[in-house]
Amino acid sequence: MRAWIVFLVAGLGTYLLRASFILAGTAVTLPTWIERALRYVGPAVFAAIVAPPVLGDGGIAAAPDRVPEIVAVLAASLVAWRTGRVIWVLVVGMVALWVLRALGL
Amino acid sequence: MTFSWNREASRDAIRGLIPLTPPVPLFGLVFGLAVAESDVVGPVAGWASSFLIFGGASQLAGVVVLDAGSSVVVAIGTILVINARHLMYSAALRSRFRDTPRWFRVLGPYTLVDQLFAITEPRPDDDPLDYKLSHYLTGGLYWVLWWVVAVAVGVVVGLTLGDVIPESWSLEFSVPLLFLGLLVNAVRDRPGLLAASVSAVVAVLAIDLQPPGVGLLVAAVAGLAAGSALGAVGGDDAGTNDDAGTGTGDGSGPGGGVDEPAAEEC
Repeated sequence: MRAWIVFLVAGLGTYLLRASFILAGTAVTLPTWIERALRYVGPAVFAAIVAPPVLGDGGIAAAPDRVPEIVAVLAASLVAWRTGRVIWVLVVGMVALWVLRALGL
Repeated sequence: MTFSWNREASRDAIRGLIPLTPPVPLFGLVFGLAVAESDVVGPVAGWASSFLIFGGASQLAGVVVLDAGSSVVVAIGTILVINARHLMYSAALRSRFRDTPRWFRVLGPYTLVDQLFAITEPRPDDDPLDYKLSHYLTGGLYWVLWWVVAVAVGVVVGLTLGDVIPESWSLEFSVPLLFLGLLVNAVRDRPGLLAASVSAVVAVLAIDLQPPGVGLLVAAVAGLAAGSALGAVGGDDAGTNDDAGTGTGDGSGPGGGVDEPAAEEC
């Protein structure tokens, strides 16, 4: 029962977060500086999702233990930048990770 | 208000989403296992969260905190903080959808997940209305169906077979890789690159911030500030002398070759 209440209320809240500005449409005018910042929502949000799991819970201090992950992400970044194809980013990143792990890095 | 379906737009949406789909079944299995092992969240409620909330990371966090004995309020708060980034997506897409019919502006946001934002945001604001609606609705329907089915399968597999993914495969690594692909496609100019770099660094530094999801918001806001600061001082590759902050957000890349018509200055 607790779970149902949580999912229903959080589901409604999540919808409201997503609907907010789209639903408001022309009824709201945003200041120019916010409109300008919104150009960078994609880069800013996606980067904040990518970076932490590469280093893991240990953050920067854990970097020496995460060489395979870091190198795999760099390799995948190169592929992403050259091709823009997400599927190859996934393939190259995962294979690089497995190979580097197998090499004992 | 009616609109006629634009098949080309539907095709574009599906083509854009297919490469983003491989991690979905995997995440369905991960989430399904968490539900199967939960003492608080039953299988039906866990599955229902896929369409009540429709946001994988937040659903998983919700199950985890409920299992840890958190109160209803804390669990709701955790989910909403993780999904707060969607508020930014909504703001960023406002100009694209401002002239769409009200039924669409009510219905459409339900499916505004990361992947749908990633394929929608780069589209030019002056797409025809039919294209906008067909593109977005097809993408949303495609993603909802995948996720609802993936979670159903994940819960059933979790209940019957248990943990089927060997940990040594590190398949969870596909999540940052997926977002890396989205990221590279989202960076269109130098301010965008700066926004991403600052956000990544802050996200790593803020890794211990509680509750989960707050670090992401702090990082994203820092990235937005850095990107728009560089954009304002003329780091924009567009190289226009005039203030470009008219909110048109045409979404053309530096190599897009779109000449800015003088008529656009109002």
